[in-house]
Amino acid sequence: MPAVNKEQIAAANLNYRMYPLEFFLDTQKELGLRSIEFCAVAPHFLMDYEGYRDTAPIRAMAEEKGLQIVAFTPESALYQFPVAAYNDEVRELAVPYYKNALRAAAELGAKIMPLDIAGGLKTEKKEDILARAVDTLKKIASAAEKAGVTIAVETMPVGDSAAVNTLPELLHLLEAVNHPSVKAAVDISAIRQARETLEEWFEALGDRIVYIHFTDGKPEGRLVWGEGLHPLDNYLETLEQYGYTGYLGQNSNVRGMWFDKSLLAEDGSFAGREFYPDNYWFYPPAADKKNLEAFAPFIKD
Amino acid sequence: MKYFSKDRFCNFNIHYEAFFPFRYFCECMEKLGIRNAELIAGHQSLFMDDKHISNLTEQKKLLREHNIKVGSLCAQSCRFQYQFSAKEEDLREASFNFFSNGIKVAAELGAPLLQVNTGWGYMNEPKEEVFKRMTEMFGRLCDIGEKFGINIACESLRPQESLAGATVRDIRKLYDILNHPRFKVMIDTCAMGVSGETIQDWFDAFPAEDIIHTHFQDGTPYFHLVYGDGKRSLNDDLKALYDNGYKGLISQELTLARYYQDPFEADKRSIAAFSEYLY
Repeated sequence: MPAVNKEQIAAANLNYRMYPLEFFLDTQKELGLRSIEFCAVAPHFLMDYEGYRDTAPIRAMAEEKGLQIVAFTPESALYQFPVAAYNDEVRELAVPYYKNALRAAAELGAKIMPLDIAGGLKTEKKEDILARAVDTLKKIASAAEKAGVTIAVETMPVGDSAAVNTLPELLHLLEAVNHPSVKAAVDISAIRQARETLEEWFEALGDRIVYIHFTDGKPEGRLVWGEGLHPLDNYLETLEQYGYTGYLGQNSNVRGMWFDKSLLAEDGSFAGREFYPDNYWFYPPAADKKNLEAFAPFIKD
Repeated sequence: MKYFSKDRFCNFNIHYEAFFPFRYFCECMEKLGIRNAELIAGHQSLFMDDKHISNLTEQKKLLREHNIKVGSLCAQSCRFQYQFSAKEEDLREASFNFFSNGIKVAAELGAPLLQVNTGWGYMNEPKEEVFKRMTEMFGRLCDIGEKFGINIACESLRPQESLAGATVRDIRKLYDILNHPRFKVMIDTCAMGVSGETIQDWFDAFPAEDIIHTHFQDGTPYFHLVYGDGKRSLNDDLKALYDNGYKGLISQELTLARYYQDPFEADKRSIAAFSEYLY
């Protein structure tokens, strides 16, 4: 049976955007986890091209709870500053935005910065989008090296980005950037949608894969393990086979249709406490607990 | 029956924003014969944030060339970066500055209103706390609205998005407390439907002249769909607006991932669905 270290499981705060940061960290401590993927999103973090929220209290709060921030993920798709922005003004601001992200990452103790490539149009050539992504990456690569942080570029599904949707496109991008601080992350949901496999990625990239966003799916989506169709044991075997000992970022994210109708009648607020497969956001600790239960048989301590 | 003039129809460029340039949106609008646009601000097609507003000369030129009026300006408020009910002071001030810039952009583009929602706060704090912060933020921004001659049109959210601003009751409470001439409300048929409300419920709660805008689309009640793709009745929905003397725009907020890939196709079906009801 394949095995995984508890430290490899990096809990992410994406489903916790309607809860305070401390609540997220407390939950991970209670679950006995030790590694955090800190997604730099409001309200947990504020960052732009001019500056960012003080990192020291965040790091201290995590460490006090026995948690280490291992990856720092700037919002590179939903906010204003995609890496391959077609708007020149936006792309110019993206450079200091990501440089700030690298600095913040280093201050928080993270060695990895997962990054998406978005901002291109369906009406332009993929090469043009790729060229802009390469340009931005080249401009921030030395800042990454200086900060001691590796940029881990992942692919995105075609529904989310107009370029860098496949392994060949990512290989092309990495070759063009050609910098030791710019490597690859697997986003398992994106590679499934591209009909690619982990094996293909490891064969092509080997130890240049420095991070994995690792979730279940039905077959798509980013579900907690045990909620989808994918065999966790097979995936872990593959990772073992290729000697991957890096982090497995748990970036599940479901804000679907379930809610407790009594909440509409009450004036009190406070959401439920159970796990609802159709909505992790109302009470994300239940989703994280369910996820960890799927990992439990494989965890060596 | 034909309930409204075609001049009351409005198209929101939210499904164009991700993958299509502003010029393409304007061209599609002209091809479809639509005169009113609702525009999303905060991304590449109309960039602004809490510190900076882009030069909008090019956008204004395109709007003029394609004979498009801006009926509503929506400053991005659904991606968690900025919100009306933020707790932390830095986030609150960034949000205030962002929405203030939204008001300025609305004024510059000739839009009569800034379209917003209530924000959400935290799920594990008392709703009254969220409500208090929300009220304070609306008060400040309504004053900015007054300065620039812009109304604030507030919609409700789905309960998944906010427990403090999910019902017509919440919005009415906000309306009463604020009692500000610039605070107006709007109907979003998705949030309304998910919360189990009807268009009539909203007109029963507010004077018709204070419901100044709509996000008017089909739903299951979930999703923001082209009429025909969901379960709502376009005839009944338009009749409810008509019977209540609605005076604002009928704006299409279409947000299915599939529409993002080919927004023009979605719009063609949308306008076709409306054609028998518009004169």
